[in-house]
Amino acid sequence: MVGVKKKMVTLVSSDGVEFVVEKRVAEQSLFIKNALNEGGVEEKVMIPIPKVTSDTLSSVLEYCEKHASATEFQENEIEEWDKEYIEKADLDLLYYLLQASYSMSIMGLMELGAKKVASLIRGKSPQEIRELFNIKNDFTPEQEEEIRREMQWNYE
Amino acid sequence: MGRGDDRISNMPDPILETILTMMPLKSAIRTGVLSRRWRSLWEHNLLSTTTLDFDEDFSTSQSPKEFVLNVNRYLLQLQHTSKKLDKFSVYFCPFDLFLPEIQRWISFAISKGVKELNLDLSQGFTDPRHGGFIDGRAPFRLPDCLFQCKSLTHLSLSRCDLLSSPLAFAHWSQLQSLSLKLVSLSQDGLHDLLNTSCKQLQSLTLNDSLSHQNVNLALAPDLRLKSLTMVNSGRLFDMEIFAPNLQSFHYYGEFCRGSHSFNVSSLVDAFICPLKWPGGDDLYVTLLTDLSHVKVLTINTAILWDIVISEENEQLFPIGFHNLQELQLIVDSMTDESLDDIYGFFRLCPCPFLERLFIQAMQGPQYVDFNHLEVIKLTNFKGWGNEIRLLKFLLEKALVLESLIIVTAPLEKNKKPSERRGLAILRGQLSKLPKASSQAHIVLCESCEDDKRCQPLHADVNPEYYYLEDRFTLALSMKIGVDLEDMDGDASQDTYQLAMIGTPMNPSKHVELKTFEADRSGLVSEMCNWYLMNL
Repeated sequence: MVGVKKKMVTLVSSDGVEFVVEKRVAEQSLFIKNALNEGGVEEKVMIPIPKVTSDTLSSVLEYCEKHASATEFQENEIEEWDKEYIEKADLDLLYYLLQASYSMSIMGLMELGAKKVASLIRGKSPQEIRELFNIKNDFTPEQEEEIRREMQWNYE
Repeated sequence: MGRGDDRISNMPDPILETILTMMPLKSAIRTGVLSRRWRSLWEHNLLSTTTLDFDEDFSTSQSPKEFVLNVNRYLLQLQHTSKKLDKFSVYFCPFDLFLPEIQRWISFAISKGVKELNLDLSQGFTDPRHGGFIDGRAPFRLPDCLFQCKSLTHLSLSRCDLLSSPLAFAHWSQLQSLSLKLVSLSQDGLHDLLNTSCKQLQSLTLNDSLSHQNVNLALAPDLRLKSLTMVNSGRLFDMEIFAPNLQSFHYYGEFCRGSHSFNVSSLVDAFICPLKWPGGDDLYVTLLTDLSHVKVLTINTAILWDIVISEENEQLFPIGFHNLQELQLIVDSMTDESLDDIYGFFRLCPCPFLERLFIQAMQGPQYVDFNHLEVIKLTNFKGWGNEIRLLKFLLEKALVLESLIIVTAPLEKNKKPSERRGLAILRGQLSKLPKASSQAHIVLCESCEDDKRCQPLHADVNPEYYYLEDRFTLALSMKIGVDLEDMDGDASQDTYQLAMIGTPMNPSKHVELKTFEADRSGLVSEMCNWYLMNL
């Protein structure tokens, strides 16, 4: 609205970078929303976001900004946007986005990231999945043999 | 974080559990073999799940015996939890040996208070000519507990026996959606189901599930049925539907050739896509008239055809679609005839308030994949829309394609520079087509640059024996003295059709005049005259 000053908050990433964003954007995160409510709104405008680096935070805020103004777009426009947004994230970023969405309580982003990981796992053999994510097979040979017998049908 | 670190297993449980719930059951189970962490995650996930989909994805690559073993293994783990089950699905081809197992699974799901039950036993050996089953298996006898189950809100059954139970549907009073495929339901059964037992029913699908030749659906005005889907494999003959609250009607398959009577005054959307066109008895036209108050309509080529060929019967038209806001036309392909049909529809069926129009030309066959196709070569390529569509189809389906070679048709001797530019545009167009094989390399060249190393074994056969168009074109141009190369693409297609009609390969002397009457250029009709005189 013209003439009305937008309420801003400052988020501080784990590596000390400050991001000044509109309150309604930051409130896409339940974690921040609760922090703002507890602190009596006007005073507390500096919020540290532990464990989230500036690179990740800037990507998270891109998501929040789009979804804060979701009502201006058609539903399928948002869906398209989400798809492109998560598509361009590499595995590292995807991992950090999931962690951040969890610690900042942004359910939509967490589900979006989980869906992407699910699609990466889907249809791959156990060995391919292990290689993709560097998962170490820590079963004992006996356990492994038992699992192999039980899961033979699902190995290919 | 270094390259070799396990990026994913260190994440908090809720994230990994969310990932598991977003996968089909089979993939989720597979994560249980990755490591101890994933195994305990999956076990925990199984115990807390409210959905068990032993669906098509789960059942592929398992023998029936393995399938039964695995389902039993997971159900055993769940037996002692107090967790309720919302959804239970089984997709399975049972042999008689396993029928008691299926009955036990159903009992299990019902004991867990299941709300949505999907039982698809429709696999089996079919006769490719008419699609009927030839495995001699009787429809599955449903256990009595299913008929006594009061918690069901959604039920889908395929190749099951509903008739044998004396209980019928009296306990399914909470049922909101019911889908029956290859389930024999009598006229009385249908009437009882809708008007007496399942008064909450909102959605009904009848897929080849009526034991009689006519569907007579007379619904009391207080019933809630909003959506009706009918799939007819040819058994149905008459259709009488009186459903004043029905909002959505979908119809697929063969059309009923008997009488129709529709009273569906609240209908909002209709999807009518029958397989075959009728013998000009205006069946579809009268149906459309009964449904002309809808807001959303989808129809296909069969309907468009019927409208156009019924045009002479003037009292049938126009059919005014005065509420229609959205129209979808599904056409077989975008030929000249399709255009005539589409124009015909708009001429005869005015829809003055139309806001959204979708026209969908049928795709190439969907379930075709070329898993070994490495080389495709097209010669005499002219860049017409049809050719581009064919290329798009091939590129989307050829998974391991290495090269696509396109040799353009030879240019005229006095070629214009603009045609050279055409080649560049074509190249740009081709590079934008989506490819299933990332390594596919597209080569576009003129006929003089054709690399002769890539040739079919039968490259040397004299073109005279198979290239009908050339022979005919030559004969024609000699006789009537015109340069056929100057004709547009459509006219050449007509030439091609003419040529086909008159060859020994196709001895039919009957010339279908539809194409010719609708012709656009005097040249083509001149050719027809010549051809008919010389036949």
